[in-house]
Amino acid sequence: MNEKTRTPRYRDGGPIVRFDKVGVTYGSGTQALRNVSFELESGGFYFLTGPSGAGKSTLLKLMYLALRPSQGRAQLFGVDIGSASRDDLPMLRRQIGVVFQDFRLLPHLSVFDNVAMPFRVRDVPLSHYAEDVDDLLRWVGLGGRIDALPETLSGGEQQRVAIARAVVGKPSLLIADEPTGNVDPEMGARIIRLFIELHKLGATVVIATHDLDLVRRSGAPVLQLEAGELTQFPGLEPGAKARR
Amino acid sequence: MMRKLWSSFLRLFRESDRALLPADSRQVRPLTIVVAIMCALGCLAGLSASAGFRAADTWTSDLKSAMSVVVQSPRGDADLTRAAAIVGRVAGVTRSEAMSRDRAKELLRNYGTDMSTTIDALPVPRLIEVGVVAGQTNVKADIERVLKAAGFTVTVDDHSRFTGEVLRTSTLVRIVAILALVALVVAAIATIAFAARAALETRREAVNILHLVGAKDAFVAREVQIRFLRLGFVAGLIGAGVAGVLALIGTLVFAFGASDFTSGAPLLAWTDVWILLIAPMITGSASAIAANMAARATLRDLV
Ligand SMILES: Nc1ncnc2c1ncn2[C@@H]1O[C@H](COP(=O)(O)OP(=O)(O)OP(=O)(O)O)[C@@H](O)[C@H]1O
Ligand SMILES: [Mg+2]
Repeated sequence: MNEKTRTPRYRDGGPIVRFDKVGVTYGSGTQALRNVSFELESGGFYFLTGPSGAGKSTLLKLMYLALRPSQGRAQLFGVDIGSASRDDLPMLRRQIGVVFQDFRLLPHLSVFDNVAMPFRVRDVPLSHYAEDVDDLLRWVGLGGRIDALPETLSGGEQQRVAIARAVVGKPSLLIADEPTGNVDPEMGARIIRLFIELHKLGATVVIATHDLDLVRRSGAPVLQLEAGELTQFPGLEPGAKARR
Repeated sequence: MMRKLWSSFLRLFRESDRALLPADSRQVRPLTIVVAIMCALGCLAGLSASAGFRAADTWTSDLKSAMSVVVQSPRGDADLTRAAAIVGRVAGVTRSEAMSRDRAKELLRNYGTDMSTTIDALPVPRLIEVGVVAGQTNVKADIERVLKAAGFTVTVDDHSRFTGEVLRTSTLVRIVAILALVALVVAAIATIAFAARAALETRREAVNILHLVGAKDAFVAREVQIRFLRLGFVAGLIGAGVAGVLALIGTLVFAFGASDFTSGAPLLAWTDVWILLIAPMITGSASAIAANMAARATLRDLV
């Protein structure tokens, strides 16, 4: 295998995410997504909305490479994720930061080590990231809990650990699934500010949320899912029903 | 200084609380015991092979450095003395001694069965005991030649029948011991591979998370490997220790209740201590390699 396919590199300019008639059918037979087509520009800031069960998390799973499409073609950083080799996935994933809806912290690791995970899997020495991790944890209000285990934290605190882990490596694509679902409005605003900071550094940001107020205030482009179908997406006139 | 060394030595055996994939303590203890037992059996097999080799070596070199010449004619005492002197001049001979009639009779008696009544009726063999430089070839032929030239009729026994027998037996013992060792190593590797696979499957969620933050399979496999390296090394230390103690007890039992026959082969010799010393390293590295390969194979099966 040559160097180019081993470490796929996204060439600036094109869409960072491109879905073409993508469908996802789970093993149980549930069709969670059907015929989903859209493009996200590199460096954009997007919201993903829709009722519970509409397929938001499923769409994001495709984007953070936890799932391959059952139908259609999905491209990430210019790489087809349906046919990408298993060996290429780690390099792609290292450019992506994810806030999972259910946090997915490692229960046996301290707050500090959970946040440090993206560095540790790359064998980065502790001295290179210790300060960043500390700073970030202070920023999300967990400066005093760096040695705590996740189970001793509240839901909102765990969510902030997950957010710190997602942004600590300065990813070029940040994907957040309901990142403000468990925090008070003030902390919610703080977290969004953090994402905006990252966006200013050049990251593409995609946030799934039920908080329509937040979406309206931001004025950012919106993807809307209903029952597995995209009813609104960037480039489509708001209010017009998507037809293909 | 010593304290610091000691504590860093102990750290080898304790998992860091920062381990990304922690060991399951319910799995570690029984697995350590199983691997330790296999290692102990392996060490005992190795020690047996080595002891068998040593015993055979001692016996055969004793046998090889001695010959006996049976003089058929002439059989007088003076003739025998003359023959012994002739043999003593052959190159490679270190000792040549005519055996008296009485000693020859004694020797016959020692063959075990009670033949005291019949022995006096038998013709007493006339023997010359010959010491030779072990490994020297042609000595037998030379002795035969010079004695024949001097008018003697003789047969020379160089014990080759016995040494052949001993070598065959000891080779068999060693083959069996080595096969046992190989079987144990295979069983240990299979056990570790199975355990590594199980460890990954029970930690599937953690493995998934590591993958999603960008871990390569090789990284995850290494995390598993480190744990099994430690487990194998500790189990190897325990196993080698147990084998050493058992071999020592065996050696002492033999030493005190020894007949002439068994005392030649103590189970534990200083020269065998290396077997016990390398056992933990072999167990540790075999376990690490087995775990790594099993982990990679398991990870390939994941999405
Ligand atoms: N692993 C799975 N196996 C089978 N079905 C699944 C799985 N995950 C999700 N589904 C189904 O797929 C559909 C979409 O689920 P998804 O989690 O994407 O919704 P969502 O929009 O994120 O909802 P919420 O707002 O409640 O988080 C649902 O009907 C759900 O039951
Ligand atoms: Mg969801």
